[in-house]
Amino acid sequence: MKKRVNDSFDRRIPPTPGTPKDVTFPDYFEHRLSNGLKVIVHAQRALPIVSMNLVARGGTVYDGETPGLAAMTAELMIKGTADRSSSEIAEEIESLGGSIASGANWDSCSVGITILSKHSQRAFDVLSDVMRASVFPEEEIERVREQRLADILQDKSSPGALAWRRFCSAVFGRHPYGQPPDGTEQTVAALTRTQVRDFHASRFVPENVFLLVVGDADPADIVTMAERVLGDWQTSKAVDGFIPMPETAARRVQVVDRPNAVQTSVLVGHIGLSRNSDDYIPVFLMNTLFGGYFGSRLNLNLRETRGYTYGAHSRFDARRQPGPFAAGAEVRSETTDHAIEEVLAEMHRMREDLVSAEELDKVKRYVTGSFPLLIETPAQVAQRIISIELYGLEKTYYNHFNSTVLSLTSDDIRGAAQRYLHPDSATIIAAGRGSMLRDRLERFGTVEVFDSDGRLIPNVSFLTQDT
Amino acid sequence: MDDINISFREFNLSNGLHVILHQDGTLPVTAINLWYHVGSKNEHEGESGFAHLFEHMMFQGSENVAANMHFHHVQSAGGTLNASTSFDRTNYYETLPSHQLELGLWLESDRMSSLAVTEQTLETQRNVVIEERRSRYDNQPYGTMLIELFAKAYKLQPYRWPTIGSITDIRSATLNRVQAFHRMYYRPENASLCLAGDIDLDRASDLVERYFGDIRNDESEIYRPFVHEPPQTTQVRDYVYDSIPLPGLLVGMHIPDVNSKDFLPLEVLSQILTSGDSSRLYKSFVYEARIAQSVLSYAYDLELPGLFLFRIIAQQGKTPDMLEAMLWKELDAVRRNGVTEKELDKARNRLEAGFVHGITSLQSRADMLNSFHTLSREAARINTHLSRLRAVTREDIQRVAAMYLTEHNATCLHYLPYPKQSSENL
Repeated sequence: MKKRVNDSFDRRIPPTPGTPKDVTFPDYFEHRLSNGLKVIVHAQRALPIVSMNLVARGGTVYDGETPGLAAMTAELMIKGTADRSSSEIAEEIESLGGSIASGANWDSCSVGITILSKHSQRAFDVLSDVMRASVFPEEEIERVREQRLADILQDKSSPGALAWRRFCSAVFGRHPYGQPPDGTEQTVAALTRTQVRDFHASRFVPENVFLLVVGDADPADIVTMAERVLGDWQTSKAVDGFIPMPETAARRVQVVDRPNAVQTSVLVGHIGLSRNSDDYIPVFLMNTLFGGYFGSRLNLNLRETRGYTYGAHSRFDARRQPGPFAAGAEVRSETTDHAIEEVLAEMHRMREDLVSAEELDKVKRYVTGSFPLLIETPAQVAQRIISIELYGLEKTYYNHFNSTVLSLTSDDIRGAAQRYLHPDSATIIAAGRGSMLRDRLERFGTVEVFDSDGRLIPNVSFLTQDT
Repeated sequence: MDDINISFREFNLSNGLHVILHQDGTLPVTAINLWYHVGSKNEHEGESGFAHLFEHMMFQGSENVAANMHFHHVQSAGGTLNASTSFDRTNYYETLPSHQLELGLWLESDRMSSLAVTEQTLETQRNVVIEERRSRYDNQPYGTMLIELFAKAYKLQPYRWPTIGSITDIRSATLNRVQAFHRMYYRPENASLCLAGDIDLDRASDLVERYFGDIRNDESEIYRPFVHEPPQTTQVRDYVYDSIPLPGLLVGMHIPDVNSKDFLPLEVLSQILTSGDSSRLYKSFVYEARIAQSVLSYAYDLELPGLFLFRIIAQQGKTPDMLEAMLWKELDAVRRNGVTEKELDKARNRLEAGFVHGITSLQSRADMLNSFHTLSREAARINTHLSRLRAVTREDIQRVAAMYLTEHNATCLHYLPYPKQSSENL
């Protein structure tokens, strides 16, 4: 039934857009303190809130033989200093309405406070204290250890976490990227206070750290404050360096058995590229079209055409060294093998056929048009600045982003796919009902089945049978 | 802290569509946010999940927009979009470059006017929604906790079935019901449209009139169940087994609706109990006694009486009984002695900062304006919310704790790992 009375215009035709306006990445303030520590301020003063972060270059990738070390060190930074106990730190910041958080990822460790800007000074004192004077009390280490062991246990019941962990292990082997960032039961249980202190001392040194302040802040005030509190801080050099990548492996087909699963978590992929690669933007655009947004080939195929899944995605996780490329979905169990076939077929299609001008134009308009939404809030701008700093990108990088995207051709997209999508050697991981998956996945290669503890199950005939 | 001041213009079209316009030209971007006052609460028994399945169908075509072209148009214009359904409302939103505002209005007005869905698109979306339910609930550890709790806590109110619905009910949804649902609920007088961002207020008003002004309302009476549970006099308890590694405790107590004078004190109390590492229950459960891995509480802000929720996951080797004993001891202390001025002050500060942080993006600001309008009939609360929070006293908090956070008013679920079976031990 039609609910409209009459139309004064033709509704069949989409309206003509107005004239687009330019968007530029904000020019932010940079300054180096006398001891080499870099200060960056992006002032955006619409709301009375500020976020202050101390970021150290290098993170989980330097875990060495102790997966979980960076993550645990970062968490423990805010659990006690010479002057403040763990509870006092939380109480002081939370009383002012703020929040304090610390963490590690592959290429950095950081600690940050978000707070109403009128409390900046006090918050900054706490922030500096936890960076310079963390004492890592044994009692706090035990608490965090216990929590982390419970988290690791929890992950073993999460299908997505199980599939991801198996995928990284299969693709990267002994490289740190193949190890779990939160560690294993063994490494977390064995980790010592000395290791934590040494790791902290190796990362948090003035030349390796930058202070990033975004939101309601005045750059001159921040510099004065930083020079006063951090100016006298001197320590040794940070460890740097790359860790040799594994050779690109041949395809592996692995199943993680979850006997009660009502879906399969599927991942297909291999080693991708590094963040500072010249190919990053072509690969980003190619991947967006392939599986990086709702209108992507992968999602339209697996969700909108076939109804196998609530959503299918792919992503290049570009780090300082080439990180993983993975395409995946949580699919109805019976469709697992069909879904994998479709993913591989879509990868082949990206490599073989030129994308049409229309499809290319659509994805370009999506990527360039939604760019402002990546720099809308102070926290988002902070994320982009951190990428610039950690990966040595030009300060004007994000101002060239859209024009680079617009300059790419169908040949560029196919070239990027040919260099960075490898369906024939892609590893295939499926977490779900092992007995069914073993049979359905055989056509992709020899199937190895693991339990949720990561142990290879030698004789698959013991697997639970479906009823 | 000073009150925040979000300026906006607000009016109704002659067909009853509510319009809220907020101008902020920091970036050349406009958020379009459209609320329909319908959620799973409006479903009838046996059609659970319909409001949410219907939300999926709103992307499957209308008179002038073919199936899936909604996504195509918005994303090709550089926009992002989504929609969500909850107990009381359904929202649809796009964020577009500001020169594409008209495109968004064209799309939203077209699907408010008509739906052009087919048996085939319905069948695909039934399957997608069933996989959504599995991905988010059935196949996730602890994923069904809230579904179980609401089912046990309510006997009458339509919050007793989940927004996602049961798989049986989702499978039985028909095309006729889709069209009837559209006629009844997706009418201008049951909707509120907020535009926030780089707009000219007068031009935006004209455009809204142009695209939405001639949409008629259906004459049927909107079905709005107004059912209240009888007061609960004895505790409800149950055990649930799931594929989980650590046991958990889930407790829900009946509380009044979001517009009741008791609601904000409950929200502040929830903040005091579990927000941050210095909160009461984090300190007692996680930091000191070390019997819990996590502790969370939440006061559900709903149109009909909601629940005050506790969700506590045990540390290894600890049991739901231990968690429950400590919870009652802590709540007893609040009921007897109330909270300290310092705790109250901290909670206010954190709620303030959280509120300010929560309206940083244009889309979140638009959503907040629509939320206050739709659920409290007052968009201007966006500017008075903080002073209302500030007015909550220690006496209010002790009173609501004594009134609602009681043992007889509670539904307690103990979540337990499946007993080990030989077939699982490979």
